[in-house]
Amino acid sequence: MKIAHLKQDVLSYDSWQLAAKLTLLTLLLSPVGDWFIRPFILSLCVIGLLISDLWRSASLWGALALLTGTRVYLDWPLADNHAYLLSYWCLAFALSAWFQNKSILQDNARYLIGLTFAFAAWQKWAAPDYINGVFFLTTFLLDERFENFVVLFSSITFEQIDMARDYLEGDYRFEPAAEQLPFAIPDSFWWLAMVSTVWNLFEQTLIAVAFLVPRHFLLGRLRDAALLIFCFSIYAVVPVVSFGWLLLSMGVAQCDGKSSTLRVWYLFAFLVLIFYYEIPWAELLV
Amino acid sequence: MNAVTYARVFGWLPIFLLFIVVAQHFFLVRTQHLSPWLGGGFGMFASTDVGSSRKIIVTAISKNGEENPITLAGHLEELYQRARGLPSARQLDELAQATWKELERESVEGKEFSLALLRIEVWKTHYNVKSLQPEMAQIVLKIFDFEHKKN
Repeated sequence: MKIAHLKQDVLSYDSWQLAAKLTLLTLLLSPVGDWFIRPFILSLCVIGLLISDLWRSASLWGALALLTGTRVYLDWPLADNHAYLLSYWCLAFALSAWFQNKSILQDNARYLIGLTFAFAAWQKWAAPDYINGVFFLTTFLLDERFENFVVLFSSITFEQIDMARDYLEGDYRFEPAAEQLPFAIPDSFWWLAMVSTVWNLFEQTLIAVAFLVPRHFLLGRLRDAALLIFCFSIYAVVPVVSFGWLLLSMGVAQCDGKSSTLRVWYLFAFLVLIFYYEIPWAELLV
Repeated sequence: MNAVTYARVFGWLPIFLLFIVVAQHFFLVRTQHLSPWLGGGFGMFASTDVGSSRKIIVTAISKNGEENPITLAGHLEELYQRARGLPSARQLDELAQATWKELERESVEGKEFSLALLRIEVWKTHYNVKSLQPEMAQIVLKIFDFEHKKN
């Protein structure tokens, strides 16, 4: 099969249809809920993908909205933020299908992305321990999901990370901790934390503004590129790839009427995230 | 109202729900010590106040004042995580009741400990800007007396 044919096939999809199918695939690739919810969600996704035109069934999306919403309610308060977003997104599909109105989906996609990033950026701007860099300095040491990444991109060692964890996670209810870490923080590690702090703040603020201002504004025209760069860069490091798939599905839904190549880029990003998810690239390179 | 108006109004329901949940998130962060990472307010990767940087200490106190720290395992573990993320009166009460029942069951099975009170403490860690020196502060302290309530 030639690449040109593939591209043509992707372009032949309606953006509503492509967004629906990517969302159903997201739920299949990263199943959610407990044993009494998950099989129903998975079954609905399989049916939605296999039976033609069911992707625009209000009943299918209504059921998915209800199930994903129930999962958030039952997990309260532990559900991840994208669990809430998934539920809103399924509801947007249901309403769009119910009223047979594509613009409902497009508007919700745009504002859900914009508001998600606006609140994410706001929380960072308002958190003193984020702005002063302490968040990434401690998270890079404590969160084992970043271990290989920081060893790869700074001069810190696995032994130092272990020592830092013992120090930072100790029980200091009655006795104060020693005044310093048991080793000096390498400059390269400090810079990695600071660059991560600034980059995240800048990128998330930019995406929020780009999606919330009118499309004809300069930043409004950059919204798809900004979201794609975010997904390509962040999800290579942050292991919450299902959030990325969800954002890309929303990106596809709101990009209708613009360059058709954008749809191919969104699909390409969706595929790249599968590789990020499955290949422990940082572990292989360390 | 015609169909177009209904679509125009109800079409914004997801956004409306998002605002309601986010408002609730900020309210609970301010009033009930909800971890900023939780509750649908999109505060993940923004604060060091994540569940794992908090500690919950559950202590059983016997009738003669003896204190016995409790290790929460099994089905208590999930309640522990919920209460750690949101140490509200309701979450702590659920954790305390389940722990109390578990301790009563153990005492029926022969472990001698005449339970009188249950104390739950929630601690949060702050890190110094310059040195990253951790410092713990108690954010919640609650005593439960189910024996007295029963009577």
